[in-house]
Amino acid sequence: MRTFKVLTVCGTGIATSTVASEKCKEMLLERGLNIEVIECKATEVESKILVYRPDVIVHTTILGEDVGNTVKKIRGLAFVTGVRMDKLADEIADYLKSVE
Amino acid sequence: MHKGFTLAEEVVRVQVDVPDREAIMRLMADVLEKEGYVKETYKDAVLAREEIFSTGLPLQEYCVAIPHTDAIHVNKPMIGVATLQNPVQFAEMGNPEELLDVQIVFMLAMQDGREQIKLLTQLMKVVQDQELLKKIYKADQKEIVELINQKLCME
Repeated sequence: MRTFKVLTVCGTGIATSTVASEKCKEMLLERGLNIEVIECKATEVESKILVYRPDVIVHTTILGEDVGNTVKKIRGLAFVTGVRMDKLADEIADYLKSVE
Repeated sequence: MHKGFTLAEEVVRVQVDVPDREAIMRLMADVLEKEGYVKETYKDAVLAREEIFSTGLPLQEYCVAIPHTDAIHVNKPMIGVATLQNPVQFAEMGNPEELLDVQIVFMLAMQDGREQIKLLTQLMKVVQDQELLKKIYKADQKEIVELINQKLCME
């Protein structure tokens, strides 16, 4: 299986996306997926998509409707609150498996 | 204890009576600034950011907000902690339509760098522990410092 690329996004790129990316990496590994995660600010999404070409975007902040539409976007707040975190990891894993 | 980080009692406020989220953010920004953790630009930056990128976290019993802003406004890392006598409304992170009744505020003064990740991850363990939040909500200043430092140093 190839290594999937995940872009995690928050408002500043230092707080919640960092936490989300660590959790995301850990939980997808548990689900047998190799992933690589990078974090960015909401304002950097478009440029990161061009350069990094992520398979999926996991965002903990609001993204405009016109932002990042070439890539699947999933809300990642559960990685921060811990509430229904397993469900979120399953959703991301299922999506990545479906695009492999 | 987390390397280089201990919660300071000076930045903890308990059972604060404030009318709204702006008031609690102003108060905590003043506290952090007075103690030298943040620059004078921090307050406006954090208030402005909250309106665009809201930080309310939907939890079970006690909802939490974690207002923060860019590292350039911060001198050294700290977490201002406030428990609120009456809940104030914060919009949910990533979902500004949804308003949450927040009773505990963790005001983050964070700097760039990988060393912050561990601290943040540990703080999220506090947020994800409803029993601990319950204790924090009922605790005095000294007890809050003990409860949080204990959790931050656990691996």
